[in-house]
Amino acid sequence: MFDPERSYPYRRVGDHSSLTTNRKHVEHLTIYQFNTEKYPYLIEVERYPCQIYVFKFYRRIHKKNKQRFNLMTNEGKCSRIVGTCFSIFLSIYEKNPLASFGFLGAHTIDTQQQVVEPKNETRRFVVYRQAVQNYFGMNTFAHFSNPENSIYLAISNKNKDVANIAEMANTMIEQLLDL
Amino acid sequence: MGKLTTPFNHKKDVSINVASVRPANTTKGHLAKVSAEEIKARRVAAYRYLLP
Repeated sequence: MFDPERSYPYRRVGDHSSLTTNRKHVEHLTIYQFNTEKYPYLIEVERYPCQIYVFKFYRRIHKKNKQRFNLMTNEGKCSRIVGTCFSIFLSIYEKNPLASFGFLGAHTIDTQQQVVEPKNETRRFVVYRQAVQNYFGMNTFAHFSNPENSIYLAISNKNKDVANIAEMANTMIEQLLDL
Repeated sequence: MGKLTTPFNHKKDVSINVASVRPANTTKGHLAKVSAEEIKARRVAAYRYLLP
């Protein structure tokens, strides 16, 4: 279902260092673009310390929208889009086996329907978690989750200090979410 | 912006003001290791691993 073999063709459209991203803790930001049958999308891949790569995607038209991660496109292409993220991560992992995969399942805000979803265990988090657990095994990754904030992190077992990386990630999450 | 209701949590009908929306939980979340049992229970075996 989320198979990268069915991923959309993508291309890199942006590279930013920590100086130009101006995002806390982000060491590098790479932006990819792909097109579904209907819309162009952007995937932002943020590299955090300890080779943690966090994937975020949204419709290109929402690029300037502060709620771009919270909007539903209702296009019904979630599985292929997530598969595209997996495909990009696999290409990163091939070059860097210490790479870890993370995501935050943003809560949905639908202003037309006048609904807002709580931030804990969001629908996106539940779907992405299922996809990661289906495709990324426990031999290669140690799996960590934070359902209260809908965050998931699969840390590469090639790292010697997996527990320390998880602890460091916790500290970063606290700072980023201002908990 | 007007009041929004949440249909996602059916426990109670909560009105939320979008302008001041905060996480439903106010507890401090923490990354915790997912146990092998939990992953095995949730995993759909029909899917093959991309990485084992």
